[in-house]
Amino acid sequence: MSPMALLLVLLVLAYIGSLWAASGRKRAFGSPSGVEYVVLGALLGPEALGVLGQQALVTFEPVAIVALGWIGLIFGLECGLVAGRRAPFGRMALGLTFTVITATVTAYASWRLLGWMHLHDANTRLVLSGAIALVSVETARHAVQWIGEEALLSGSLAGLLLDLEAADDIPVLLALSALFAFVGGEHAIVGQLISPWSLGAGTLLAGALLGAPCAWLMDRAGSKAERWTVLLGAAWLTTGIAKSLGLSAIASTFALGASLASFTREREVLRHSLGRTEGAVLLPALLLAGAQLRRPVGHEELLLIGMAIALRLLLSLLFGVVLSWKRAETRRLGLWLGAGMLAPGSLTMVVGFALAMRCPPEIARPALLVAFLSTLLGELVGPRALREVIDRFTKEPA
Amino acid sequence: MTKSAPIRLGQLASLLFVVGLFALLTHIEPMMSGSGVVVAVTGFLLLSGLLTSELFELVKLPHLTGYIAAGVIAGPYVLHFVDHATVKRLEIVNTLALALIALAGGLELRIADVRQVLRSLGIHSTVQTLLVLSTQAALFAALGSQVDFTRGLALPALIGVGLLWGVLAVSRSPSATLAILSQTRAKGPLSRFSLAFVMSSDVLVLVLMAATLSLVRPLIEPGSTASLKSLLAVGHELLGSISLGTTLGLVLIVYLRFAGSQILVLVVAIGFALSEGLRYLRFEPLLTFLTAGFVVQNLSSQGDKLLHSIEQTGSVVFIVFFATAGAHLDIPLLAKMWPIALSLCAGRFAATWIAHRIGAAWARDDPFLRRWGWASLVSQAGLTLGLSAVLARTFPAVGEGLRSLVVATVAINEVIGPIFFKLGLERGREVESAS
Repeated sequence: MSPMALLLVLLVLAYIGSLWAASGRKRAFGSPSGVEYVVLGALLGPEALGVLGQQALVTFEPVAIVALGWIGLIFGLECGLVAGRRAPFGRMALGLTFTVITATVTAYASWRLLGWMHLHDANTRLVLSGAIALVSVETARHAVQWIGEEALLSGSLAGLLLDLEAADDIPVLLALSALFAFVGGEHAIVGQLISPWSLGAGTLLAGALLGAPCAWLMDRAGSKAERWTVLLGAAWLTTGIAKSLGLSAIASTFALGASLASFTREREVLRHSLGRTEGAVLLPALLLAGAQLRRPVGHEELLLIGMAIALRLLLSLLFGVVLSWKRAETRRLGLWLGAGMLAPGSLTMVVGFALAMRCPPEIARPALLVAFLSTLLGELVGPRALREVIDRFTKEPA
Repeated sequence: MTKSAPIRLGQLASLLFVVGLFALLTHIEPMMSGSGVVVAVTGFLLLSGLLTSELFELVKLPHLTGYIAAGVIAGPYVLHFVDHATVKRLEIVNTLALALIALAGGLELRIADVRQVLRSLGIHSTVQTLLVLSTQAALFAALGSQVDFTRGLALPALIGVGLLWGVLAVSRSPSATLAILSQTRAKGPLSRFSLAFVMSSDVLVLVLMAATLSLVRPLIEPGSTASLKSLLAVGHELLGSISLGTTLGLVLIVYLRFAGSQILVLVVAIGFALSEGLRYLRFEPLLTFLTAGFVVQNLSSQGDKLLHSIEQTGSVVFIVFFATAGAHLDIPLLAKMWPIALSLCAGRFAATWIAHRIGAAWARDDPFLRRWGWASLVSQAGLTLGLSAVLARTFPAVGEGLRSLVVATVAINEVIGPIFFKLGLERGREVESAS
């Protein structure tokens, strides 16, 4: 099958997917994280039917890079916001704390397990532990929105959950940026050595700085086409710069998106316009991510993956209990709430895909598998648990 | 809408910031090559092309000239931001651009409008073809001793190469015409005439080139015989393209009528996939998409809907297309060949102008069209370069030299042509005040 025909298939899938996404509350089918596209990709990929072969994946690399950058931009524009309003700082901080704790515990446990199994050298172990942590932390913004839409719910519990997830992308993407910078090693500019960390920070800064003039240009654009040209130009430039330096394109465009949202006068219009493109970009990316899935090599990798999933489950249940403890009416829903928070959004798979494209196979393989299994588990358990929580909560006497 | 001085200053500052950012990137080592660079270059060309074209408005130059200038400056001969390999990898964007340009061109052609200019179109096509072809062939033959690759050729061969040059001179640029019309949103007799003329000349040039190739082969390569093979191939190409274009147009009508959403995604998918299929079938993509657009516009009420969707991508597509063309311009070659290239361009310009005056008088065009109708006929771009590549393959002995000379003359015509066309549209008050 020629790459162009495959591209056509991807675009048609994206088209159908974006129709679902655009139909608002009518989205009664299709999962919040789009995991079915990952499964489809895995079926089409080299490990199963082989329709999407290794060569096709190489051909589509630019498409995948652009898609990941665009998704980062959308995340950046939505960062800290819930349904157009800014989430309360306290709740965002609580969500960030949960994320950081989960990531730290998972990374440390992975590091210890890898050391115990004498798997890989110290550097690879460090990067792999970090990668496993990054695909184990994101929780259920999309799932909560989805359940909320279905149940026509605007209650305080759904609001709390949404606020908690409003900013949990930030530590993941910052850490991803640092991880890529670490993998990339040192660079030089006009003969001066730059540390990986400075370069990573510099790319984020470039994205953030580019956001200011772009917001200014977009606010003064003479036409819609001109606004889109500025937006596409800035997103592709940022994505390309990050990719060329071996850094994280999603993190850089996330910084661009956050900066654009801060400076532009038309952030709501922008957010709405970009939101409509999310399905068209995300679904082919998920499909390609699925095609990159590979079977684990050896029992050690299986053990690592199993541990990461188990930790994710345990920590989520624990946070559910902690979160529900504060209010008497939710205290009995702790475990259900924790299970509900297992449902990941699309960020987990997107981060897994980015790692798969950037890192060597011994890191890419387990990281993408953890992302996939965590997404699948969350999708099977999370929405049901959330429905249960919301049903029980609404039935409880106030 | 005229933008104020602070906005222009802001645009200049933004342009400098973007150029500075990219310049910094080119000084970082080690740089990873590959997809990232292509994506970064595309983003850079979009931003720099847009901002340059906005600043060019100050001196009343068309946006297209700004896009080309941005490409030239970023290209391999000035700032070295874009190398040849990257320009080559951007060709996939050009495939899509050409498909969208042709589709939009077909959608702009309304039967009622074409009928109005049909007689005039026939007369102008005949006069332009005969006069431009013959004078350019004669001029080329006269300058033959000054040109490296024709020096020493026997007279029949020189006449043969001259005739091929004459056919190349007859070709115009549908993409430049559409880009200017899209930017200015011009409506009026000059826009109507230009669109119909340039689009139909595309078909005419293909037939003419096939016929001339058959004729001149024995002149350039003694011992070979004239053959109708290439004419048959062109017949197959044209009929096939029109048939496929009609089918595509009908499919689009059904889709627009019964689904009608996410048109852009569909158009992009068709643009990429069908262009690939057409290459395999050896059909002419420009003609296929042109026919599809024409069918949608004239056999349904969905034309404006489709046109609107395509126009939304217009600026993005045009910027990348023309900025890449700018980056392609071989400046050292132009510097080397400029005396000959300039003479040939001046000759072509004069012949086009005279042919237009004769044709306009004969067709009894209105006074404005008589004065400015030539303005859209100067531009040359992708089609001419494509034909020169065919010649380079067909006649290896002279083809490469001919191709270099074409690149040099196209560089001149590509820059000056749009300026004349925009000037003509402005003089005729066909440009929307908003532009």
